[in-house]
Amino acid sequence: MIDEILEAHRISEGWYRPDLLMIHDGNYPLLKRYIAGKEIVFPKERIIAVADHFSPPSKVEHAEFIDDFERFVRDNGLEYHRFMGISHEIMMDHAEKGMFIVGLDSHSTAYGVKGALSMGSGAIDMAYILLKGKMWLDRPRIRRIRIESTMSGFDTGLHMIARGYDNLWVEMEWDSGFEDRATLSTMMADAGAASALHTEVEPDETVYAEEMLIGPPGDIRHPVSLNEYAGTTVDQAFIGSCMGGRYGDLKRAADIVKGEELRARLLVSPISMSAYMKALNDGIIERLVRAGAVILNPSCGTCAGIDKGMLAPSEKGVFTTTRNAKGRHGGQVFSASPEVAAASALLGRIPSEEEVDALR
Amino acid sequence: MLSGEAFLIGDWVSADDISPASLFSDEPEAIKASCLKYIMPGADIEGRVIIAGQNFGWGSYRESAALCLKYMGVKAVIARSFGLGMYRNLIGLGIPALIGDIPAKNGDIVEIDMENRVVRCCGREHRVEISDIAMEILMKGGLLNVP
Repeated sequence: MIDEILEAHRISEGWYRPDLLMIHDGNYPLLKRYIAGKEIVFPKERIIAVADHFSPPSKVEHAEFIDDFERFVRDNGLEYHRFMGISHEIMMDHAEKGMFIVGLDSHSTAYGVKGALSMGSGAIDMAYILLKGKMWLDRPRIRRIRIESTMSGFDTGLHMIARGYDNLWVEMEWDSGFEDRATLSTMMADAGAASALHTEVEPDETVYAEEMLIGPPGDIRHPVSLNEYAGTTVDQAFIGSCMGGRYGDLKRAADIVKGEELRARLLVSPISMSAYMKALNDGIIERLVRAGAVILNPSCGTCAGIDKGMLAPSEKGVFTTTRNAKGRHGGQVFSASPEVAAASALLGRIPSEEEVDALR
Repeated sequence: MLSGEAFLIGDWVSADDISPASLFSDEPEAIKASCLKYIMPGADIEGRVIIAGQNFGWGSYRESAALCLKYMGVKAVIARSFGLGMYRNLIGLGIPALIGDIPAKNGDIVEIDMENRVVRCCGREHRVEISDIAMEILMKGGLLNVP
């Protein structure tokens, strides 16, 4: 599938033409220096612009980034989504099977769930696509994987991260729900994969995911068994980001906290306004709020350490954020699934796998 | 011939370790100041050749990480492996990102012969890998110089 898509988009040896681009406010400040005053040759109707990082701005400097970004959006007449959700979720409505999509963010692997070949880029690669209409690629090394997992998308993703798929182009088959498969495609970025496309495969390997994992502080790349950290005191849990804020994640969290009083702070940021509305209509948001959760708007802010939800240096958190690099959120952040994060907030400590199962 | 003193940085240094997201800025001085701030504050990498282990710059594709190395005057990075975003950003910015295992110590002089894909250090030659297309981009001084 990856071979076919690349072949269909090949211009010449090593050069490919994407179908669709995603550009967000968070990396636009680095992109603009390369494109200022230059002609964009890439078809503008196939560029999706999303404001999700400074959503909304918490500092004057960030308001200036948004102001600048919106000028770029207006001047070029781009389709624009402002503060309505995380770009990778917005893109689910645009990505189609067989497309080659490039997003200005590493987690652009997400749209692989739609059968698209999608990958992230830095500013200079995106600038080159805008100005020349093409992108360079090394010859891809492809890995075909069957996944046997009854775990959530997040836990399955942690298993894939633990195995590591660095610089591989992945085709994967997993008999699971759309949201969990979307989370998995997103998390494959953190397993190091260039792309993670869902399709039927003749597998090179089969991966079995059978236990809950947790990423130690500063080191999501080396997850271990959840039980290794069970009992660790937790000051705050965060459920959100492009890996942990889907409707199903909010529902799982609400099922665990059950409206009971929480022993640690719980912050919840739905992945998009549509996930937020659905959870609102189904009473999920009310159950979370009654338990004491704080509902934040859809945003990359907490995940990227831009605004709300930071920890004091002495504090510990369990977050569903994409990364937990040292210093990103202040204190020590463990990476775990929305269920583990919810159970951590309820208990005030990291739960064992048995405890999470019992709380469901 | 490209050459500089080796700066050893180890395995699994992420893009966020190199330039933390929370210190995001579009100002060159601020990007430079963010360099390795939480993991090696004050590290002197000015004009050095970085010798890294596994998965250098994994994680975020945000260009700040590669840019701060550029602003610090890093001449090249030689790693056992790279995160894809870091690798592409370095090549795009015209900084050699070479795959190899170089047994250098901090401060050793490292000479890079790009044409022959060879690194001279510690009294011998070591082969390094780079794809033809990445080499073409580097020879033009970076992606934006490629027609």
